Amino acid sequence: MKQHMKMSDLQVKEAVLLPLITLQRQSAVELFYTGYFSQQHIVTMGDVVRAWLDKNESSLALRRRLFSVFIEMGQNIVRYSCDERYLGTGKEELRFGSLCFHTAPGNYYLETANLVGHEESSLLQNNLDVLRTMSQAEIKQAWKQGLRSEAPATSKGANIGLLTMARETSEPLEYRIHPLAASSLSAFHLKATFAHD
Amino acid sequence: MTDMTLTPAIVLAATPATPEVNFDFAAHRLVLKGEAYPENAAAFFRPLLQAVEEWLNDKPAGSTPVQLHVALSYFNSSSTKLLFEFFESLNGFARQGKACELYWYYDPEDDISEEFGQEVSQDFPSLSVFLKAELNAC
Repeated sequence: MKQHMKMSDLQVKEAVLLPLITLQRQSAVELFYTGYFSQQHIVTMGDVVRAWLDKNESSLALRRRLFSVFIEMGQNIVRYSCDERYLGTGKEELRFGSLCFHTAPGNYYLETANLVGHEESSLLQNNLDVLRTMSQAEIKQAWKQGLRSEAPATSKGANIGLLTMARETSEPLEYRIHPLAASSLSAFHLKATFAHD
Repeated sequence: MTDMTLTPAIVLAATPATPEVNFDFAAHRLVLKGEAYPENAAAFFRPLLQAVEEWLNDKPAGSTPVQLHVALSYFNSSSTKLLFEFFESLNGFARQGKACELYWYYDPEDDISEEFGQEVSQDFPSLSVFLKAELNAC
C-alpha cells in the first residue's frame, strides 16, 4: 500500500514546510519559491517584488516597507535556515526554505518557512513573543537601542532584523514553530501583513 | 609623514546590492550612492571604514572638513548598523577637531530613511549633519 511507504527524512522535512504557508481563497500568489536561497536569488526575486509593487502600489513608503521585509526574510533564510541540505560554494551560501508573496483585498502578505535548530527556535520564540506585545512606539525605541548595541557573536547580520520587520508591518508578526519528530530541528513559519488602500 | 593627498581614491561600481563608492580623499569628498543590502554588510563596509579611519588618523586637525555624501534608496538592517558605526567613527574624529560633515539624502516619501538621518543627527552632535530631502541631488 502506497500510504504505508515510509517517507525519507528529507521528504519529511519538505512536507513539513509547505503546508505552513496558508493561502486564503481570495489570495493571489505573486511569487512563491521553495528551494535553495542565496543572495543572488534574493536580488533577483527582489526585482520581481519591486516590479510588481511599482505597477500596483502607489505609496513609496509602503513599497519600501514591503521590499525591506522581503530582504530581511530572504537573508534570514540564507543565514539561519538549518539542515543538512546546506550548500556552500565557497563564494556563497545556499540554504533551504520557502518564501511566498501573496495579496488579497486590503492586505499584502509575506511568509517564509524554513527549518531551524533548537537554540535558534527558542531564541526566535522569545524574541517574537516579546515583539508581539510591543506597540509601534516601543518597537521603534527598541530598534534605536538595537542600532547602538553590539551584534551578538552568533549573528552574521544585525540583531535588529526582527525589529526592522516588526517596524515595517501594520500587524504584529505572526509565527509558528513545529518541532520535528525524531529530530532537534523545528519548522519555523513567519508571516508579515501589510494593510494597503 | 604620510601625505594624505596621496591616499588613493576608492572607486567601486554599484552592484544590485551594494552602492557606488567614490572616496576621493584628495578632494575630502566621500560618496556612497545606490542601494545597500549585501549578504554580509560587515565584509562590504568594514574595509571602507578602515580606509577612512586610517586616512583621518593622519589628517591634521583644523584642516579642510571631510564631506561624506550618502544617497541610498534602500539599506537593509545590517547595513544600517554598519552605517551607524561609520557615522559614530566620524563623530569621534570631529570631536578631535577634524571636522566631518554628513550629507544624508533621502526620498521625501521615505520616512524610514528620513528618521534614520534625524536619529544620526541627534546622536552625533560633533558630526555636522545635513538632511537633504532629495535623493537625486547627490
